[in-house]
Amino acid sequence: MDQISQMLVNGQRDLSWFEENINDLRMKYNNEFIAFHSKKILEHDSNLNNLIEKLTKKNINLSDVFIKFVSKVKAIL
Amino acid sequence: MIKMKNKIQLQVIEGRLVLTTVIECKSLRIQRQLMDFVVDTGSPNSYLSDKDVRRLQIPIKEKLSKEEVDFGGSRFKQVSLPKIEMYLLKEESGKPLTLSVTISALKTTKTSAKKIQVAQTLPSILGLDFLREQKLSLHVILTEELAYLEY
Repeated sequence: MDQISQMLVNGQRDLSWFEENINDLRMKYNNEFIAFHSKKILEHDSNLNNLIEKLTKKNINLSDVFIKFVSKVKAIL
Repeated sequence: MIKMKNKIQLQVIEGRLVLTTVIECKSLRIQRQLMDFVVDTGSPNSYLSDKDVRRLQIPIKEKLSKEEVDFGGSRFKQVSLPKIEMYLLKEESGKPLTLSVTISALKTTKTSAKKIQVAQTLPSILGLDFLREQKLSLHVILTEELAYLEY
């Protein structure tokens, strides 16, 4: 499998993991941005810029990391 | 001869239709980057969210903004971007489909920390222009947990 297809497959798996664990994540990280990859939370912060800074300081490659805001309050577009 | 159509799987995440993509844009110095978009037929246009603009470090400060838009209860400046290469996973072959996509960037007009945070919670979206421009049809049967794009 080529690099792009592998990124897409892994991304779909990570999003499925996020969906399966959304209730636990909301309890643990309420009103925070979370960064995750390979079914693991890499970092979290209530401020997006701080989160990106933390990831950068850890030399984490952001190219295959998802960042999402989790909250007990549902958002409507 | 009947021509078979190809499918691209969507996922339902937090009750929304989500498309997993890899994007790339050499003129914006965006290297291959995993991105999730909400497919939103309620939106006429496609947008990169304020969160993803910051994450991708797209330099939009000096770019000319179009009219402002309201989205998810927040007001944003809308900035035109060059075409972005978007890769999607074809369901049958497992190989990527490459699209050239028109999308605008959103930047919040808010200045207070709380309102900026609210604006940054919103996802990047693909609207009706994406489906039209790429000649894609959207199929959703939620009772069968079936959601996909067809081309």
